[in-house]
Amino acid sequence: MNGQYASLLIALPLISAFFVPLIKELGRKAVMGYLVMITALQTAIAGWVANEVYSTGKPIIVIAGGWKPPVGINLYIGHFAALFVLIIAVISFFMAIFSFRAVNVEPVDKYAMLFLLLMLGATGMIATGDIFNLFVFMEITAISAYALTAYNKTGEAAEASMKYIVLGGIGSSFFLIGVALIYGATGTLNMAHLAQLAGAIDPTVAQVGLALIIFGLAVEAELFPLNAWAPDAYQAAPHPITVMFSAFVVKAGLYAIGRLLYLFQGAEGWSGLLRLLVILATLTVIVAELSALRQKDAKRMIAYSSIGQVGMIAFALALGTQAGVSAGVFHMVNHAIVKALLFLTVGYVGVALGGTAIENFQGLGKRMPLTALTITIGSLATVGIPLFNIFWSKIRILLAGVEAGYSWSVALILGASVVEAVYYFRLVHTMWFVEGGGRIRENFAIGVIAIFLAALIIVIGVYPNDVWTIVQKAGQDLFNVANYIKNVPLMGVGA
Amino acid sequence: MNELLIIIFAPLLGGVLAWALNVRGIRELLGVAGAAVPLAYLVKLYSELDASGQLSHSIDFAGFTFSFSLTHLTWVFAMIAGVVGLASTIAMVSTSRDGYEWLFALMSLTGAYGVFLSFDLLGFFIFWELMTVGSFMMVLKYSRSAGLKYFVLSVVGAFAMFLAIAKIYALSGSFAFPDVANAVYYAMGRGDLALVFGLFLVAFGVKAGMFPLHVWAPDAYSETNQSYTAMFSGVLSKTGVYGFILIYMLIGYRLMVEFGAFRSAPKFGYIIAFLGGLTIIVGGLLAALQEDIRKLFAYSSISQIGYILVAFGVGTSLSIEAGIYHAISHALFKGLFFLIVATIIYRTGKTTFADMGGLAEKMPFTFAMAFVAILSLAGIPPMAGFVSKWLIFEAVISQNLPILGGMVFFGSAIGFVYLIRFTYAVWFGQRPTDLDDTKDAPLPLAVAMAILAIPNIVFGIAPGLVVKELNKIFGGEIVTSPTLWELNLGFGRYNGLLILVWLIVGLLIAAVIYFLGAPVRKVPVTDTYQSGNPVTMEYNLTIRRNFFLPLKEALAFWLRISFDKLYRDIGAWVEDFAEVMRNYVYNGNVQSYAWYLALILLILAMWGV
Amino acid sequence: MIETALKALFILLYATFVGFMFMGIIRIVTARIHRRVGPPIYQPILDTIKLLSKKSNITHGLIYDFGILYAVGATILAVMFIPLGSIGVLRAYGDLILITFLLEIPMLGIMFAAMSSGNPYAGIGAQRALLTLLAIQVPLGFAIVALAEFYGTFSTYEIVMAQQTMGWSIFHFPLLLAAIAYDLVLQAMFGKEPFDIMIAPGEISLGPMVEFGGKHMGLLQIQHAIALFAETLFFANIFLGGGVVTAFSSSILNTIAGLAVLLVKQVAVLLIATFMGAIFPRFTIDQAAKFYWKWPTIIAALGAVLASL
Repeated sequence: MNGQYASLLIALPLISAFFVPLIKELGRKAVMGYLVMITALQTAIAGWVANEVYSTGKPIIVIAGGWKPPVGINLYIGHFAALFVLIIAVISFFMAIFSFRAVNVEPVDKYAMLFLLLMLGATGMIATGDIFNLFVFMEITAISAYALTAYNKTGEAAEASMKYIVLGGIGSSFFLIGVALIYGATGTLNMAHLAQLAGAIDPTVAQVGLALIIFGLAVEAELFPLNAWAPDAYQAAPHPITVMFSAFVVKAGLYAIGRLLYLFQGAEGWSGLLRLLVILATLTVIVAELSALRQKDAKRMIAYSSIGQVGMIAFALALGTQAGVSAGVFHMVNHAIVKALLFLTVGYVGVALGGTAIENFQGLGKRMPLTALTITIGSLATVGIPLFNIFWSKIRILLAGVEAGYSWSVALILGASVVEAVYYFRLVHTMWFVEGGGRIRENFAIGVIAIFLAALIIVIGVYPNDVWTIVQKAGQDLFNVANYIKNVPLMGVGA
Repeated sequence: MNELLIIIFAPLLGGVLAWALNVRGIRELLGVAGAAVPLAYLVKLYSELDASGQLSHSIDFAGFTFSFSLTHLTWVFAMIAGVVGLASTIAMVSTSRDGYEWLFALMSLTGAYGVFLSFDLLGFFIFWELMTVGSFMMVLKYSRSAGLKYFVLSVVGAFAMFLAIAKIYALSGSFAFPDVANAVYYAMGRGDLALVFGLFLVAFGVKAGMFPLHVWAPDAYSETNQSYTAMFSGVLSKTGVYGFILIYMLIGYRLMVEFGAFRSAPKFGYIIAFLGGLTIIVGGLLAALQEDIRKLFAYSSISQIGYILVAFGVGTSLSIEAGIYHAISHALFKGLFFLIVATIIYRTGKTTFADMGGLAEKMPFTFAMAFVAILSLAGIPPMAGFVSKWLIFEAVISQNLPILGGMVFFGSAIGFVYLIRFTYAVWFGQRPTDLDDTKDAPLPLAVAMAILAIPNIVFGIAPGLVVKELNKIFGGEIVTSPTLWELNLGFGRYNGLLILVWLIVGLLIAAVIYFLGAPVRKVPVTDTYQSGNPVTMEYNLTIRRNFFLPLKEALAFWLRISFDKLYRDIGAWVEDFAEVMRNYVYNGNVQSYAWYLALILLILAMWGV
Repeated sequence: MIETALKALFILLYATFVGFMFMGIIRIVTARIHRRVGPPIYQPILDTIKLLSKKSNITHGLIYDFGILYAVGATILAVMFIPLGSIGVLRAYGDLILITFLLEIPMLGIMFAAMSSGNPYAGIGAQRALLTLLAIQVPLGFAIVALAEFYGTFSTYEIVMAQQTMGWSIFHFPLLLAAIAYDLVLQAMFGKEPFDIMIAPGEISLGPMVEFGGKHMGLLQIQHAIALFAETLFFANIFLGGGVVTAFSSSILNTIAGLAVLLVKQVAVLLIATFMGAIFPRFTIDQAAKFYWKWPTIIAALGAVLASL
């Protein structure tokens, strides 16, 4: 099949989002069913693309309208993008199913539309090969995220959304300024072309431009202290949306940071920026984990934990070594799975028991054994227990950190992990060894998803070899910029 | 599949199956099989090991190479795990009621095997974590605070180890022990070396229960299934002990070269030994003051581990061999003690000394086992506990280390002290009426106790058996053993058989005099001299509470210093700090959030942009 | 084999007899200090015979009997390891550490027996005995360490032989300190004032001994005699040069002379203890512990450190 079909990944959610109003008359069930169908389709396409990329070993370059880059806009679906587009699609599919149960607030047609746009935005951010296009997709993602945050129509949700808008807005404007600066200096927006020219840009411009871009993205990527919106938004958003935030929206931001960072590795002052990022990432981990320690609400606690984990990914990406990037990508995959599971199950508890306060988890082991078991697996995995997937990526990140000379950072992150272990095990203890109410019937579909994710955690944990090979390739895709440039068929402009 | 991998993973497999099936009968069978299979393999591999000196196996997994190796050293430690693990699981047949416990108990056993057999640091670390988690889950079920305390300290230790491992890995690019030792010897800087040593000291110190990192042990050892504690204290703490040997293997030479020696002991070793000495004293004194039978033995376990650390710290072949010997006897007598505790709790449902008494008549078999364990722990010849202690005494004192010598002497007396307290309060005196129909140990517990009691005696009378194996570790006659019964150090000799024979002779002489006298008449416990007052069962005159009150008073000043409290304070402080910080950072005010952006921009600007 | 048996029998009989004499000496000397006449020197033997021939004996169970037997057996075992002049059965194995332990374990047997009776006085006596043991262990340990480090061997016999060429231990300063500490420790091991709180006849009716009577007490008297002999003998051997005489050509004469020399030394040790016991009042248990953990410990530790240099 022609690789150009990969553009469907963008086209499908976009077009189907516009069709939502048409079927809204058929009622809530139909809208949700439609959502499931579209995401299933998207999953199939993403699966096919990923298979294609990994079997041929070559990235799929989609060129819009026959204009070759850097004049035209292109999609670059390499190993990384293929993997993450698939993850986005799968998680979206699961969340579409979960939405059946979890989202009861009207208007669901708006919900479905925003849901699809969120998925589209994230997919686009990861797949695009053009820096301005990246900005556009980022805005799509962000705006649908603002709206979805406020979707529950409570005061808290509105406030959370407001904070998100303010911070996100400032962030993206700085991003745009950075892009403009870079564009002014190089005259191109194509990422491959930028990478080619990076060494030749005036160092001050490159530094300022890159710094602004990273700064803008850091809001989306939840780096301290630009992540203040996140806990509120995570908590206020509908449960499926929280899963999506944690599993891929933030990952898209991280990816963008990583991609742009390594594109400009020829620029001067690059290593200084890396060091700053390492510091910020370390702080992110520490502050987030400490904040989670005394949370009374499980969802918020896990939100903080998610921020902490994201900080760890940022740390890995900012190390500037191949080992660090591969480990970071590995952690991205693992974190997507684990946090999807945790937010799904915790959200489900919230739906079933009317809230996610820790008291509701008392005796959950007896009340909802399956849910409790999967939450436990997710918790153990997050803490980094051997035989669970995160263990492998975590030790790889930390090893890479020490190798890159950031022992102090690793020590601090390890300290934060102790804190993380404490609050997760408190939750586990509450679930299994505190008496609670009576037995509740568990939803079959959500149970299946949860078990699937939990099984995935354990399978990767027990046998990480295959996934490790895949993420290594994805990591190389991100780290090895020379290859990236080579793969994009640039018209001989400026180079 | 490779035999080494079978040894390591058989318990875990058994545990997972036992948990998944969770059918009474089958569950126990699977669990015990999981612990028995590795032991069988270890015995089977012995002759092969003897012929080749080392059995290795390595696999590539998750992008790393993991090597496993069965050497004479690891065989000895694995056998400790095998025997004590088997006894402990057999005992669990009586005391454990659900699949959860089987799963995690056996998981931790797998971890221990993995730690012993791993021949690379990463595998070592992974199994270490696995073991920690398994044991933590066993504690968490019984007590949240004990569990979390254990876990936090363990994890701090594990992370310290990890940091050290990462440091070494960054230097050598390999985890394999030989590469690591080489890299450390040739390439590691002085500062890094000291750091790595400090980190390892914390890591292994926590697990071994070294003062002042021991505070988790009393709670964790007592707040779990006591059958499991036999394994917990007998096997799991040995991984920490093994870690100290690892320090010698991996960084010992370099440390010695870099930091020199204090007298004949390496300086770094003297630190270990001195902390070990403090561990003996602190653990022993606190053991004497406990009111809970489980805690008494938990502290006693800490105290006994102190001996091993002293021996390892001295750093001669003899002292290390002595330390390993004590590790073996510690596993045997301490495993036995915890099984006795398990039996007592199983039969009476009570844990404090105040509620017990006069059980010797009701549980004669258990009492006999306790007698063996007491003799062995107190270091009465000819028991295994005496031989190992004797070796440690000789090894330490012969190196001209008087302070350490004094410490170990104190330890042997304090052992007497708390053991007699246990004996008196549990077995003798007036029996509370509600214990009148207490039965003796159930069969599984009895079998488990017997498994551990027999080597306690055999290894004391025939120390040559053990020493022969231990000498192989060092590849030389560290302790000569002309016959099975005799040990000769050159400056000291021990003969278990002679002692046994002459003890029997002495007993016979005494018995002859005894039986020449008039026959005896048995009288009840109430028929004693009581300054003229008649004794009735209404008043329990046996001193069970605060038995060592004078000691407590004499130590009042020192008892106020508590590391446990210090750590708790630190924990509380961290929590408070976290809360304050969260309130200020994530204060919910979008304006301050916007200020954060400005701040970062400012930093960016100052960064030189 | 026969020779060993004969030697052992001799040691046993000699130790028991001399031990009883020692007990008699203590009573006479104490009496004289108190300006009493005191009993004849063989009075303890008469007492013991009387106890052993009691017609009615009571027991509190198996442990009660076995503990006593164990105490006697272990004491006999201990005395076999200590070189007695040129007579020795197991002196080749007479390791310092081993003998130190063996001299302590008879107490364990007595405690087991005493505690199994259920008498609260026995319990409190056991507690005090243990705390005393704990208190003396520190200086005792340092003294032993000093010896082992000074001579570079743990063999009691070799230490005795070394003293024949180097002079008595107490003539070397570090070991003099050790000897002083050990002598203070002996005071408690004998159970003499001021460290006799564990038996404290007036307050807790002999503590551990309260419940024993008849042949049990008789056996304990024998045990006490042998232990007294063994402890003084050990001290005489390690600090006072033992009893090696080679002046005569006949080995029998040498042996007898050696025994005589030893006996003098042992009596000297005994008398010091008796004098001290007669002068001082009884310490309470915490006073005793604090005392032992202070001066004797410092002295012995100093000795050990000096010896190790």
